[in-house]
Amino acid sequence: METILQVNAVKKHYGPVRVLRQCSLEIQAGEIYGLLGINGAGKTTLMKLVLGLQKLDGGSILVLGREIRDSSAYLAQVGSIIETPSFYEHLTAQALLTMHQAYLGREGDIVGTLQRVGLGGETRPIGQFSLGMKQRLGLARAILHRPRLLLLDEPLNGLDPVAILEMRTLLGELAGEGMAILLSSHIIGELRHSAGRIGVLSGGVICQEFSTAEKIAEYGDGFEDYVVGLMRGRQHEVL
Amino acid sequence: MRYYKLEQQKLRPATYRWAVLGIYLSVQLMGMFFLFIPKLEGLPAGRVGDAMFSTWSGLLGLTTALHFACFSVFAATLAAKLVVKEYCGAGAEVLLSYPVPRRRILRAKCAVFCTMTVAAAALSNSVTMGGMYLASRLFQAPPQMDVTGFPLVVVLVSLLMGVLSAVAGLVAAVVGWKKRSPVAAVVGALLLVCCTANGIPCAPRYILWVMLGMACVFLLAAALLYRVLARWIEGMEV
Repeated sequence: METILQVNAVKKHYGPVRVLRQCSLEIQAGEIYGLLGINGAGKTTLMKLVLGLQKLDGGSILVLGREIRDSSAYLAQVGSIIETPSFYEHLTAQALLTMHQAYLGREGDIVGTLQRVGLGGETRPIGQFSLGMKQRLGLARAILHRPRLLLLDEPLNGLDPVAILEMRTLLGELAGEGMAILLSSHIIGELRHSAGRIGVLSGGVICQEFSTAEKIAEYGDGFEDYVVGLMRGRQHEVL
Repeated sequence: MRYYKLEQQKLRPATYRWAVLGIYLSVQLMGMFFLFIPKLEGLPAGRVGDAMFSTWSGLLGLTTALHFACFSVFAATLAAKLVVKEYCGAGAEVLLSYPVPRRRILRAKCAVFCTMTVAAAALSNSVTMGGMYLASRLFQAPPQMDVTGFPLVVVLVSLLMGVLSAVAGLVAAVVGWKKRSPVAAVVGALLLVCCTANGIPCAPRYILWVMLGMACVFLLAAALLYRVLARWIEGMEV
């Protein structure tokens, strides 16, 4: 199995607060990796580091076997939703995706992607979309260019139960097509259904990593209590 | 050019067309008022104190200064939308995660607001002077012609005023980015206007040279500010 993302002993601090220290993980092609942690655990920071939006204070990140420090070309192979996606509200979904692929310099199936996320035939300006529709459009933007690595930070925010179910199915399909997905959340139930493997981020490190199916089999109804215990773990160190 | 067009798509063109029309109409109205001041006040033509309103170069200085004030705010608004809001707002993650050098996108953004400002400002000022000329012929109230090749001077002064306004937009982008606030961007441009707009009509007969001098100073400052902004954006973290 091909390793798509490799995070090696990554360190990041904001002022005196060490958010990530010796944080390491690996994601293979076709895998959905759930990143679980309490608010402020460093999940978004880790994703931003992978996207080059923040600078590493130590360690290394490799995407498709290449150090991300060397070039920004790898970004054409990465799709992402970080926090709440924002759009140009006067554009239509199709116009927005056309603009997005022009920036990426890669062609994608715009109509097919919009249909896939349930926005096929939508011609209204984005300003008239509901929160859930915007979230779907964010996902469409992230997967339009068929990236090898997909980073999703709380992607189910604002979605209704039906849409959550559809999103889960879609993520499963994308993983089936060989996409590596890093899915972050602080909601255990969300990851329990989607992620094949879960890493718990606590105190700036992945303090525990396990196969979701195995732990559910081991703990049964006590699975959530077990994970909450791990999430509480350690607080951030102050330098 | 590709990024220039993409950045243009991020703006609602109708909004800015209406803004330009509004600026033009209000300055045209003021210009007409200036044109008829000597007649309304019953002042004898040619007195030094009235040179501002009784000569074409004086009137050009006044309308140009007014246009400069308005188009500086126009440029600041564009800069706030294209630069400050994009880099300091919620869309920064997407913008900065494109596999395109950050400087190239910033260059396209600055090119969009600068060209829009220069074109709109130059056109508005030239048309305003044209409108005043027609009105003066129509109502038999022609000011003194004290500059040779005046139509060419109008076009050149209008273009230079557009350049000054565009630089005000760049100043706004720098201030707004530093303060992480679109409002600060507009305030930055307003402060620049307050400090410099009076220089435009200070020597009406030499207005072209005054504008050239100001444009040189502004462009030097713009080159420096652009480098600073590009460096900040290149190293920024979100």
